[in-house]
Amino acid sequence: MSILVQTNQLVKQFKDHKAVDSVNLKVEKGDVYGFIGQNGAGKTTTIRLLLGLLSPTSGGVELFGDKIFNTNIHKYLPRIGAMIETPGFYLNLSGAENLDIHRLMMKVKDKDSIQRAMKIVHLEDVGKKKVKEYSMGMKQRLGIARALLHNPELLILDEPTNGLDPRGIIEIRDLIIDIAKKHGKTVLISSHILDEVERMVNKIGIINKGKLLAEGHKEELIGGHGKSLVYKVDNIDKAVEIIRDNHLFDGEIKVEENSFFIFTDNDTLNSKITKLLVENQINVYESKIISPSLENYFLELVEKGEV
Amino acid sequence: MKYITLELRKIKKTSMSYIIFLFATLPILLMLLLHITSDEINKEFYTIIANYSVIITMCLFTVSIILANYIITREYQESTIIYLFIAPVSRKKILASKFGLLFLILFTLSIFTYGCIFLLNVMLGEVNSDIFARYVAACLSGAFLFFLLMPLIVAIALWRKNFISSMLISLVMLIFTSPFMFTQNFYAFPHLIPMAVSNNMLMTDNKLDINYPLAFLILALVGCLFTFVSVRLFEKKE
Repeated sequence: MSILVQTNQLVKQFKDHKAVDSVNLKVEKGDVYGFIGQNGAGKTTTIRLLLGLLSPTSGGVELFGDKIFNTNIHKYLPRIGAMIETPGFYLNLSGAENLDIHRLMMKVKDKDSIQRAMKIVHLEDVGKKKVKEYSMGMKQRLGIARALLHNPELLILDEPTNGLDPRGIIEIRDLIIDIAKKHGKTVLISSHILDEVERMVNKIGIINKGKLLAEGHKEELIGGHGKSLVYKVDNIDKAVEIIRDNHLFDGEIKVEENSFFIFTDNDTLNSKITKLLVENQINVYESKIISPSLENYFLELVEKGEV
Repeated sequence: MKYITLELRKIKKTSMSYIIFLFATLPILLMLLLHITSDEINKEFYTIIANYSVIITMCLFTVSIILANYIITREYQESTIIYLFIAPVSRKKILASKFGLLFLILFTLSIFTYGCIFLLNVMLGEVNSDIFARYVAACLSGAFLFFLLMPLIVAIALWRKNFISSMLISLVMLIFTSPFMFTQNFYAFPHLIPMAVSNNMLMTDNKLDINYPLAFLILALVGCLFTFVSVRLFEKKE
């Protein structure tokens, strides 16, 4: 499979702050790549480096298999559509007029491309409305339309759900899934909203304090992380002792303030443990199976990184 | 030319259109008002124009400062600059299109204002070929020399990236140094040269003593220096 984006030991240093530290990320054709990290982790700086908006301190960027320099970046920009943070528009102009300016800047001759892009993001009826009258969600969708206008192979969306209400977040999420599936685009999406990213992507890169902590297919990363059973009981020490004495689980049991965790993929163990605890007069307030999630994986990875 | 048209489209329906119209008509109305309210001795229309020509040049300079600051800083303040930079167009070309728009508007505005005042002169006073030549010289020299100052204004706008801040710097620079225009040392303030030259073109007596080649050389150097600075600032990846 061809590689559309690759960075090699990419570093960006601002005075004494390393915003991006030896990042090696790889986005293959057809990927919906979730680039996740907390605010200030280095996501936007990395994206700016990919688009040639910043020059790297060291390391390099490869786009569509070629090394990128200041001199050749313009050759690859027509193959990329991007939306970076809050999308900026000429507020005095309509949505369609804004897209037309971008069309001419991107050297697209086909005027119908504006209507097509507006249709994909469901803004075809408000094209003549001035952008200053658009809601935040409409602006985000118009930003995606602008990124799609010149029919790029690769779509880079930086925090596309920023500042949106829950309904707006769902709309944008569905839109991105639709663009990736129906229109066959490769998408690199950065976000700090893990739950949303998890639903959209097939590949994940986790960045923290400028360092890429993990990268791989979603199933490999999260799936390999395993499930956990959680219990809230009135006497944790006694409960753990009972489980150990009955040899129901010999692995690590993690104890927290008012609950304990058992890391296992064996779902049937949950009912056995609950039954055993009740039989031994332990009050079980809550017992549940926690499936592996990006959130848990991310938190654990970040905590490990900080240690 | 395509990108200059785009720049023109960007300022369509903004307050800038009204500001340009206001500053284009303001000197015409003021000259008319001065003619109506002047006493009999100074009633000759051309004398009024020659005596108060600084109003015309001040208006032209002010509107060009406002426009130059606006077309640069709004791209940064409205975050549209990123989308210009990720287009396959060189940054030099984008900046050149902005200078192109300034050139176009400055010349159109200058021709419109001086043209209207000349027509008023035809209607309200006497004109001859010498007066016509003076109007043409004032109009073209003013517009051309002001244009040589635009890189300085653009460099300030690119340095500040904020409309209010860069406007304050530009206007303070203009206001506090304008009294020097009537001294021998005005060459030290290159932005006063276009006003002085343009006024001299219209004046019949009490002309300022200007060394025209030196004035042009100073402005050309300022223009070149700040074009270089503007390009460096615009191409800086930060």
